[in-house]
Amino acid sequence: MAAVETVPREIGQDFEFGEPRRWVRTLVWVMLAFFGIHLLATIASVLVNSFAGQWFDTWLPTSWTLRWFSQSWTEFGLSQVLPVTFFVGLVVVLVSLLIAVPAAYALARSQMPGKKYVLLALALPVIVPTITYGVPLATLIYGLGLGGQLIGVILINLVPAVPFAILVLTPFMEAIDPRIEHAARMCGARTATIFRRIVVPLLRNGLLAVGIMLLVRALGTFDLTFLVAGPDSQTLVVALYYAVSAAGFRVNQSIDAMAVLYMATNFALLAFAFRYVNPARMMARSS
Amino acid sequence: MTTADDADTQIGHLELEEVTRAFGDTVALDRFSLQIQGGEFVALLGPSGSGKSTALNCLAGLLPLSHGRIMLDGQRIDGLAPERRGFGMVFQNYAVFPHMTVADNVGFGLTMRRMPKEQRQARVDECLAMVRLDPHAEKYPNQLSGGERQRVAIARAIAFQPPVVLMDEPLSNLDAKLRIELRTEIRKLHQRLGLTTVYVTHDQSEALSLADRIVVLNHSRIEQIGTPNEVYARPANAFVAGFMGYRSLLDAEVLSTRDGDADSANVVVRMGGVELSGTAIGRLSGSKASVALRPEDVTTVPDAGPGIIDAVVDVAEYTGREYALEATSTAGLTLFFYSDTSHAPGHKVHLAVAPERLLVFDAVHGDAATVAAEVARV
Amino acid sequence: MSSPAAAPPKPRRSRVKQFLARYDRAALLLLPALVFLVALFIYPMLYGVQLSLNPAEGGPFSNYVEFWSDPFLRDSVWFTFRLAIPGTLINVAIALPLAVLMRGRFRGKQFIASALIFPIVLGSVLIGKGLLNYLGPAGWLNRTLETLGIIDQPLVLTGNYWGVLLAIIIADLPFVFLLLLSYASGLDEDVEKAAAVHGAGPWQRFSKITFPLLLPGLVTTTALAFVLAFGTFPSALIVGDPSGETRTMGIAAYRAAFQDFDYSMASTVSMLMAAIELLVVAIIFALRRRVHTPTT
Repeated sequence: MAAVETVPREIGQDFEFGEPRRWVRTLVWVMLAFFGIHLLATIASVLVNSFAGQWFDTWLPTSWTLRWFSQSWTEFGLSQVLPVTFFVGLVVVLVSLLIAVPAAYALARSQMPGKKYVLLALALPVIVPTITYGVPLATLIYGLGLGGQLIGVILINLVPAVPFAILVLTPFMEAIDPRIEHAARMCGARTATIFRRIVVPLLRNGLLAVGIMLLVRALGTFDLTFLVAGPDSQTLVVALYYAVSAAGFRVNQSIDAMAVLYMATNFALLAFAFRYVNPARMMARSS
Repeated sequence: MTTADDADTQIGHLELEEVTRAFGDTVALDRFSLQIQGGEFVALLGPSGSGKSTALNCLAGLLPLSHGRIMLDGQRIDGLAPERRGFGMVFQNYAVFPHMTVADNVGFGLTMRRMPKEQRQARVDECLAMVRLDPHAEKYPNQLSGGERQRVAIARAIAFQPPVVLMDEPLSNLDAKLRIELRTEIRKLHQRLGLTTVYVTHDQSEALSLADRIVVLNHSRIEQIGTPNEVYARPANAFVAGFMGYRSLLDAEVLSTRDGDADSANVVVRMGGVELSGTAIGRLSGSKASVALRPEDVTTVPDAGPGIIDAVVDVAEYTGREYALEATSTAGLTLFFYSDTSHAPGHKVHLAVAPERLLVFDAVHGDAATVAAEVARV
Repeated sequence: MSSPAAAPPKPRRSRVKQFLARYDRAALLLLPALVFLVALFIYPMLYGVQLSLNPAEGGPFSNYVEFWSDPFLRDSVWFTFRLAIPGTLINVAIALPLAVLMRGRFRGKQFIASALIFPIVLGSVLIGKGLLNYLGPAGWLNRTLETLGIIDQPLVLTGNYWGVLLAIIIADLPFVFLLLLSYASGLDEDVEKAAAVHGAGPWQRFSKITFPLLLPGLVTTTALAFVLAFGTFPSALIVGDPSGETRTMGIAAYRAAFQDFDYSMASTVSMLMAAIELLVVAIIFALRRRVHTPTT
């Protein structure tokens, strides 16, 4: 075999069929780099500004500081906003999963009539713009006196979260061979036991993936929270929006400092998520 | 269609010279040289990872060569893109175009060659009739069974009268009965159309029944090239023997060799305590050798004696025509043989092998167990 | 089938029973989700319809009439489409070649796929804030273009249409690309090999094999891209001109509800928005059905 290595290549083409040729690969990289540079610059402009002491009409700030972080912490009441954010996120994730797991199981296993319509109905809240059901639902929530309260924020965030969780979990559930459950039943397990000892452990990766995606979405969902949140029930992203939209009264840099905190929170979650799931595959499954 | 048409498209000579394909540091095909005559049916036979599919893909143009060249009637073709080689190909997973009707699938090569519509239509009908799919012309592949889909793929590959048809394990996704049926059809089409066919398979019975010549590959290299009869009756080494249905591969010690009489009973070996005379294939370099036996060459004899192996039957399977038996000798050798009468497990038998059918190979591939493991690597 | 004389006496009831029998106990597990869906989605939607039909003054449809007659409201439909359609087409046009070219195995693919996830996590508010900084008159982009001598005056890219369009591309392109990539990666490579061997050159392989096979996925992706772009709300507020050329339907609904406190009109706009979006999605999928592409 070693002898082969010494033979010079005679043929110019060294790609495999289906593998993009070199100039094509280069083009792909150039296009992605173009996109990536603008994206990175967008993020970096926030990042740099949050550490900027003085920055007028220059490429980079002329001095650096950390004071915007402490300032934004107090100015925007982050000591209250952050716990609210995490609390809302966690409750939304837990409640969604609690409803979604049995529903996904039923959808994956049962050949009931009308299943198609149930799936369609579940797809609707994911498809229609959040604002379309958000406005009447927010009106209802205010009518019930729940506006501005935590419970209202949680309810409205559940609307896209639950169907999303069901739709993503169903393929995971379908991937579990029903014969495994039959085997467990033959060994004497009851439905509840099967759920606890067979289905949920086999679903672990799917649950983690969906849970993290739900959390990221709940943290990032601006429109819905925005419609019902009061001063005590703001999540980070809403606080960020108010800061941005009222920029005239705020120091630009302290807004960016808050944006950086927001970004850091999400990145931490994402890094955690990547340890368990392949995002590209998730997309394929959820579609 | 007349045979004269086909004769025009038939090639004279396809030659692969030292065709080599390396993926990084691993060599998938090592200096593969083969000459194919027009009208020949050549089977590339080997376990998975032996390089047989690599060779076919190199020939098709789907894999560029790392070294070597491919000549078609004196023209060098290895630099050509697959679409410019003009070959037909049948894939293991059918690879029919799911969004086209059966007729459009079959006519694809003709469309690509800009054949006028009426001519194309006629040619498609002809090919569909050949594979007995004419009633299904307007169906889509997802309305067809696996066997029918593969027939579409075969018709597609022959429709534009390619000089060479390549087949990559076309039958391995089909069930046993269909496999034998379609195998006969492939051979018939080959003969009727005077095709030149290169056929990749890991199934020795497929290769034996279809091919004019068989190329046995292992570990990216050619082990033997020969007619089915040559490869079957005179395997070049223990690996080929194992692959060709010599079920018993046994370690043996060479006691004496006799020169002169080249072909039969030229060596005496000891195997499991019994001295047996056999036929050495190739030179034996040392005292260690591998012995290969086909079940049909092992016979039962009434009495024990010199050169006779005493064994106890382990398993008897009824095959419909005879019994296939597995027995273990007193020294622990496992032997397979056929018998017209059943033997209960535990029954004592005396087994003999004719010296010209007891093939002795140099143990270059390692001991018998190693070779057996390689053979089983399908 | 049995003869009419031998038929069971109560065929109606048995049919109901037969129907119910098809629901096994597993179907009960769906109940919480259905209750949830009805209470928090279907009921609010119906409530929205009802609200929209009960305007403060005028007949039941007066809000709908007003929407289409008041240019301030009517134009929001145009503003929404003016952002959503180019946004969709640009995203799909960029994602399609990338996805087709990237489905082969090569180095760095995993890295790219992972890197593209980031904008998804950033969320639209952060992207909006970042674009304000980056595209602003003193931002890096204008500064670079001025230094390179391409422009004399800073480009106005924020507070108008362009900022929102760019936000749509940055925020949604990753989704669109990843979805399309997953469709493209699912294509059987052997089918394309077969086309190549049987005489199809690279362009013919794309136009006759790859593209038709990818079309159903492409349609779904286009629908998703449209849904994302159509619902753009925060960036229209932040980087756009929410009282001018980026006054999308979402903003019109929000304004009506929380600035004018006209919940009836807000619901009208919301319902119209949902109806228009679903209509476009339905048209996209109807087109897909017309493209006859049976797959195995």
